[in-house]
Amino acid sequence: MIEKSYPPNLPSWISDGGENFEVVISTEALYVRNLADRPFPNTLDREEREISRRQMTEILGRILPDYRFLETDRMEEQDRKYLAERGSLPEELLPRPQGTGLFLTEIENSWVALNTSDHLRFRFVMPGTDVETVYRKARDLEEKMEQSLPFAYSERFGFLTSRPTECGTGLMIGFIVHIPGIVYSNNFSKLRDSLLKAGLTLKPFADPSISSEGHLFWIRSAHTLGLDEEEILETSRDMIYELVEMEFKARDAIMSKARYQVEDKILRGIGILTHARMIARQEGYALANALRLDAAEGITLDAIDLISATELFLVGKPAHLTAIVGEGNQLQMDTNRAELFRDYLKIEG
Amino acid sequence: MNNICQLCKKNNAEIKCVIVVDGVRTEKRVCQECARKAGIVEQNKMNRKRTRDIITRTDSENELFCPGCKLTYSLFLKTGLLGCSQCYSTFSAALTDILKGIHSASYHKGRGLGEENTFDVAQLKWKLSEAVRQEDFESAARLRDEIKLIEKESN
Ligand SMILES: [Zn+2]
Ligand SMILES: [Zn+2]
Repeated sequence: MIEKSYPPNLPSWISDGGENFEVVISTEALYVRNLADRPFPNTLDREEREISRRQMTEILGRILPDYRFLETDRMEEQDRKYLAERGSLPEELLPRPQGTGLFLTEIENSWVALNTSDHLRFRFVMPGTDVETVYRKARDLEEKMEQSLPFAYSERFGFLTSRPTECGTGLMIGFIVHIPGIVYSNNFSKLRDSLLKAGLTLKPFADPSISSEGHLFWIRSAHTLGLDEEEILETSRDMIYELVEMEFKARDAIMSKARYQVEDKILRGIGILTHARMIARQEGYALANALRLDAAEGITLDAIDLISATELFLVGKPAHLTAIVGEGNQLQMDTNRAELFRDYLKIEG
Repeated sequence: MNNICQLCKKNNAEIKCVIVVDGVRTEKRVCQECARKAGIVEQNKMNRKRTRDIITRTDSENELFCPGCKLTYSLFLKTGLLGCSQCYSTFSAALTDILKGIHSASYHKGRGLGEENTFDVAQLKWKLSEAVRQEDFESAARLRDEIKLIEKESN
């Protein structure tokens, strides 16, 4: 079902650089909606979820002509993991897929998930800092759906969701950010505190199997109730531009104060990449972090371009590695990772 | 006699509340423990004068549960997931505190549902198929008429 190709085809939010792509890899707008006339999917049994999926699919098929429909419960686990690693399938569809479904665009800039804990979760994603576009597109979709589907809503609590953390507007704005400057200059906890105060959450992009937090993070607006949509957009927009400025300043500062240490870190990374025969998951992640900073700031040898360096975060993940190079045991995976990463470098090893 | 909890029939009743079972409201006097099991004790701690809380109880155990989806309050606390729209009204007292904690707000602000007349025929057909499935033939007939009317007007 999933096309396996080498070089791997990538979701559009990685392959096109956007505004402030050096720091902000992507921006997403996510809506949560439920149907008014039935319980939320987490209390439905398998058969009821399947009925609900069939009904929704019939209507959504007309609203979403550019999306292909995936019956997620018939997909191989490897394929679900592959899509989840690239953000094209919500994590919730990994463990309990019965009666669930996913509409996904060809370039993977948008999906609509059916029967997660909520009837409908849908998102748009764009490269760089583009809050307006992702919001406008997600909102268009929401309005089209509302024409045909009765949404669960109350005057008091707004749009009703299975998680009380998401009721109200049911709208969340999220970003993937790369902030080595803030991490190196020990400003990370300061950033996390100010995000929290502004009503945003931050979590590492890497899965829990990687012990170091690295420099890549998800940021997401956490307040859906008591703020209207314009206020949610404004908060997210203000915060992301502030973060971009803070990161660029931090990069300038470490480059003037600690240029040799940073260069040393990056050049050692390139040394490993060009000569290592095996690269473990954790090490691969650390190398991607260093190389992406190098590519963004042009610090050393121009060993890799920014988009390729961004891809490293993705292709080093297990399901991607398997899809690109094939299955294998731990040893083979680490060998495959080393070989794949070396191919990304412009310099010969 | 008047001061005995009407749920466990053992302890002293200290709280007056309204209990809804299958849509029928009855006023009951209950003890602290039964109130706690029903998930209304926090409310009363904060405001002892506010004695009217709507709860629903099962016959087996005196726990607050949602008539729409049968979700109990303790299961909600465990999973963090509500089971249906009605949960919001069933657990509204407890949710108000939870929401204030999460969002520093407990009221929706901004855009609501679109106006009824902007809903298209597809939504009415959706409602019709639901009414048929639930054998609610009265609503089904009404919806069929509405759909016919709109389709005639648009032709
Ligand atoms: Zn009692
Ligand atoms: Zn419920």
